[in-house]
Amino acid sequence: MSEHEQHHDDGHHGHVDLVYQEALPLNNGKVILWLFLSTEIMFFAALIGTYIVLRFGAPAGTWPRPHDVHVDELLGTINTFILILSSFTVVLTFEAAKKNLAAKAKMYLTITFLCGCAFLGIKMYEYSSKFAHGIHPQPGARSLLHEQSDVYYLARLKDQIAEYSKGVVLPLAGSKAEDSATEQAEKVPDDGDVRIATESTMKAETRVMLEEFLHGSLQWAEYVIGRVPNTQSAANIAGLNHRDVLISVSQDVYSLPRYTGYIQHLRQSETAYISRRIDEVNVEQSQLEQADGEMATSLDFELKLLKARQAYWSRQGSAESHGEEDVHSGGGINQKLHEEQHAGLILAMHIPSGNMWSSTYFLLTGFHALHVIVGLIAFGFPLAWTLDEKRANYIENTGLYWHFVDLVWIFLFPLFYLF
Amino acid sequence: MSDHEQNSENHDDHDHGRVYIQVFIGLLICTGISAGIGWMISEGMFEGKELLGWGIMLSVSCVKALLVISFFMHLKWEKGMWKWVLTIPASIMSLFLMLMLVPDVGRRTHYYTDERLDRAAYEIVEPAVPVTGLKDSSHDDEHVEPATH
Repeated sequence: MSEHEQHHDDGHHGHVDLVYQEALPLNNGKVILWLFLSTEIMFFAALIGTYIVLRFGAPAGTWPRPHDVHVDELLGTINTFILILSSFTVVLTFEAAKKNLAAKAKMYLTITFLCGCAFLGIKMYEYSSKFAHGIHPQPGARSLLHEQSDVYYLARLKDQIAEYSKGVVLPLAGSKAEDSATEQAEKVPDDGDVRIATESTMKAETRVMLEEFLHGSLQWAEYVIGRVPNTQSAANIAGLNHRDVLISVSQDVYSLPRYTGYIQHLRQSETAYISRRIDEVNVEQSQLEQADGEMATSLDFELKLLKARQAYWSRQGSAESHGEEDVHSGGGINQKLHEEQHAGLILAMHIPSGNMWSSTYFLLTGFHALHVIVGLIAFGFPLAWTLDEKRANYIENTGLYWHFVDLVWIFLFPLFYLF
Repeated sequence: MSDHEQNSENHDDHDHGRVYIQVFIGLLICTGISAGIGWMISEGMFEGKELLGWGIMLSVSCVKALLVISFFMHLKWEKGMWKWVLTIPASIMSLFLMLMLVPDVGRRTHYYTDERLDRAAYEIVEPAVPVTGLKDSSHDDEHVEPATH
């Protein structure tokens, strides 16, 4: 009877011997989330891996140190702690929800949510401080990072100072091609008829600092690289190669500690050269004046530049010997401008690989911050729920995602803050 | 069978609370180690062997990552092959993605021209090119005194 009945049933329903295969021992949501996480592993591995390869491939000194680009490792450590703490509270939330302890779960979840917000707040502060220092995600008009200190860098500095001067015509060397050496010589420093931003709210000290830079280092550099018209071949006159002088200028604006020894050496050789050259010029001048009065004025210009530069180096030297903060170790002009809070008054900086650094920094931390925001949204909903057993799966899956975000930060933290 | 019942089958029934606290403390210690090495590097204690410091920091990061994955993400307690299938190929692929960049990106400076390296700013303690170009070669001797380091 039973055999017959079974046969009859099979015929009636049209299927035989159903074999149920064992499914994955986890719920569908978790499967999907793990699939998503495995693609996320590849996504972030590509970004982080590229950064690691770029960073390790850069010869010593050609990649910005954290302090060169205003990265604060204390903030990074705090953020790391915050994320680890939030990961910890997420697992506690899950355990509490599993045990049906809704109130406890809600408390832990609230801590997690607040930790995420704190992380983003610190990140925002860090970004804004980068922007205030002229560090932007991509090279362009707003970014003040220059990979090289070259003639383009000098031109940028001149443009910027001219902009800050608000319409006051500056005696920038080579600004008028037809200017004779005589006319230029009249406009060189200590004549007292040039002022930067007289009308603006700029502090007097700042103005003096910019003027000294403009007529000291900057004009000297242009002179050395031969951009000043009607002067002799630069290398012959200056006794310095372009690179030395251009780096020296960039270090006045924004100093990197690794150049300190270089600058000290440069000061020694340059002061020796300048004092000797001044003597030579004096002799030549007297000889020329006996022959032809006109020619003497071009040497006059050189003499003024030499004296300005000599004064510059002796100021540096005395500051150093008095144990004061040397310009070359105190952050340079930009540091002072920033301390005096002249908004937007930051000069272009020479930081090797600076633009590459800022691109990767903003890309990686930006994508990470986006993930944090998504995580906060995912944690925002359950804040309004009763977190009992039924919600445990949601909490677990969201938690898995959150742990992954923490995981990414675990690699970003040493790479960007400690290397 | 509800999702939750199915889920709880995979976990040991006992509480993981103590393990979580241990992992949390372990992560904090690891962060402290990394931060300490970072500080030592910035103080110049790893002068010339930064690679060692970086290697330690990245290893510590890997340890932290394993801690998070195994315990916070419960992978240690999950049963079945799926966890290996989803994580190992992705990890291997990410490793090879990185290795593929090494010849062209990692070793990029090996193909730079001299001129480009000139601009690239070494860790310079003295001018890379001796200060030269004086009119009178008799003055050269005054400039050939590199700072000793």
